[in-house]
Amino acid sequence: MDNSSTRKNILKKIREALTAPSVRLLPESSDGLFYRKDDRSLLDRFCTEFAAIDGKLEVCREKDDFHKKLSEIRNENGWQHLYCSTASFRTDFGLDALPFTGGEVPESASAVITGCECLVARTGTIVLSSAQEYGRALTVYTPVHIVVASADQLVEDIGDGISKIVRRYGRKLPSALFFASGPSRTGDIEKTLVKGVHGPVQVYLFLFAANGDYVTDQPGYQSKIIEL
Amino acid sequence: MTSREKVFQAESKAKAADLKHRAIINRVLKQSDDAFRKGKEQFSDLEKARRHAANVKSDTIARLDYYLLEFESNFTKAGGKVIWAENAQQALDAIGEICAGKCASVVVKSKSMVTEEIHLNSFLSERGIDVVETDLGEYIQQLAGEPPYHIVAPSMHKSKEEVARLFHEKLNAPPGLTPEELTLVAREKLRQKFREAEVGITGANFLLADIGGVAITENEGNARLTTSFPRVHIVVTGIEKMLPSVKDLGLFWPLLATHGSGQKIAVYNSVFTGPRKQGEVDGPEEMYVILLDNGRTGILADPVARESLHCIRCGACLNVCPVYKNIGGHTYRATYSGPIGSVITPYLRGMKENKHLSYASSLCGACTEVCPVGINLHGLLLYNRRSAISGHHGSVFEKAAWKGWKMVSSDRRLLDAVGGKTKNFVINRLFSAQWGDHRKLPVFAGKSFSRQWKEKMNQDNAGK
Repeated sequence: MDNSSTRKNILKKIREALTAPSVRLLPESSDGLFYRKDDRSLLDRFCTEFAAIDGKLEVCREKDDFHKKLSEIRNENGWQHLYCSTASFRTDFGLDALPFTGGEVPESASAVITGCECLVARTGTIVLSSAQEYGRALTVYTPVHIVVASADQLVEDIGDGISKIVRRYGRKLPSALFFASGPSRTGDIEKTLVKGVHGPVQVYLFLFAANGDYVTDQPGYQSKIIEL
Repeated sequence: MTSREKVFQAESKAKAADLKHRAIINRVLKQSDDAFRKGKEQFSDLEKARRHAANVKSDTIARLDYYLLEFESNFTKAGGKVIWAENAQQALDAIGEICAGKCASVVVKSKSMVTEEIHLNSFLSERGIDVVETDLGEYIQQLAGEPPYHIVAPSMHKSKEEVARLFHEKLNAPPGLTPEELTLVAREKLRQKFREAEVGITGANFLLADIGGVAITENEGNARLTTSFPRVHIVVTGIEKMLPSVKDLGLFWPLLATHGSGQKIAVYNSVFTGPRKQGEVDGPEEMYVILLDNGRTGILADPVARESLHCIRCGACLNVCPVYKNIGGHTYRATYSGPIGSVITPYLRGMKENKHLSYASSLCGACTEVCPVGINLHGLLLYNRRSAISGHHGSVFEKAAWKGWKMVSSDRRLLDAVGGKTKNFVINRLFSAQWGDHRKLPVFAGKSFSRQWKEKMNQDNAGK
């Protein structure tokens, strides 16, 4: 369809309209600091925020912790099949050795295991992109999303997450970026909070942190560290 | 009085006295208010954040042509296609053509007020396309055959019992389900639709010029599914949704979340820069962005009203508006309700037919105070009243009445020509109908203050 005359008309109208300068121009520049300061470590803040939006966090120190904890959670929840599309992940974390994971049809998977681009401490956000092997649908269609990440993927705020992506991909950005903060939710019926309306009902994060990374004075989180 | 105004008056009167409606709205808006209070704690200086956001929007709108072209260029480079539409019909025709080209029989939609504005659903339905709203609130409204009640919370006015009844009648769900169970029913029904649909249609919360991106904010995940499975993704958006850079989202996402739903950040904030790229495992083969004018350049041409184009459709001004709380979202009979709707509807759908909306305000300023992008909403409502009158959209009676009022009130002799009794009689005859039964008209004293004062001074002087 030829759209050039419509385009020309709209641009012409805009340019004519803008010959009249705006009446109310708000002056002043800004230092860009808008959010409440928090002196705790990125990891501590992420833990607090992620818990506040109903994310489930397990801090791990070694691969074996991860395996052990994953098996436990799987048994607790009665999940049949866990799907992981990321080949490097399956090798690195030895997922193929676990009897219940594999690369079968994701349609039947109870949970999907993926990595992520980065983690945002201030909001408890997991940043995903379509350039990764999990693509667009998998992480939102599967009932449970399990993310495996390391503490060095933590960034301060949303803006830092965006900068990190832009630095990584330059002008060749992935076709889709997702800033996912906790399980899917709705309040559309009388503002009653219901989780898992279209996206995952539960979001787990297995976060690999080196010794000393995990300093917290919040007793609630201590118990979640997997014992070595 | 226009027919639209008469309907508005009558429906407002009925709604304001509907106690069941009032109870639900009050309860829901109280929850919004509590959440908002908590959400805004994330800002160290909310006023500073708002001023910055207003500056960004005002600078962007002042160079809108430049940013639209930058967006078009970047989005096109990434394999997307931009379609310009001057009015609703052009947008509908473009969508119709794309759907026909894909032989689409099922179209899934995520929440979008612009598609309400152009009445997309009825257009597609008439063409035999099964068009499905996938946001839970919008899905409820679609089942009920009603337009959205609120720009962010479309089914906010429905009790859980009403929704349960609706699902029972329309979807054959068991009667008396809880909100959790109802949500699960919708989840299962809609999952099939996501897989079947050939085309997915979304709105846009922001357009990002520097990367040619479309940002979409949601909590449910339906927009992500709408943009994952179907082979075609169509975005319908107003031209004013522009931001210069993807980096602006670091402020605009939290601002939108806090003012829209009291969250620190919404669950899913996505950015789409085009169709599936080489090497990516899924995603649509084609992506279109329809840039819609539909009256927006008319708003832009008015240097005062222009700032209403800053709006990020968070709905905060609706939540705090005493008029909205009393008459509800449907009474406005406009796509965009509440204060922002009252400001822009006369521009989008005709000043003469919609000028009465400028009076749907107590001018208390709560809307202006809460607006995250600094729109002087109540000031603009006042401005629109003036524009309507100077544009000769006022009635002959009103004009004559003001002329008479001006003549009398600016002349002391005329003002004192008659006593309080006569004044009360005249004012009562003229205004008692508009003033309503629920409050008393002010009463004139027997003698004017000026006359009483003179008499008092004369007496005092005489006494000396």
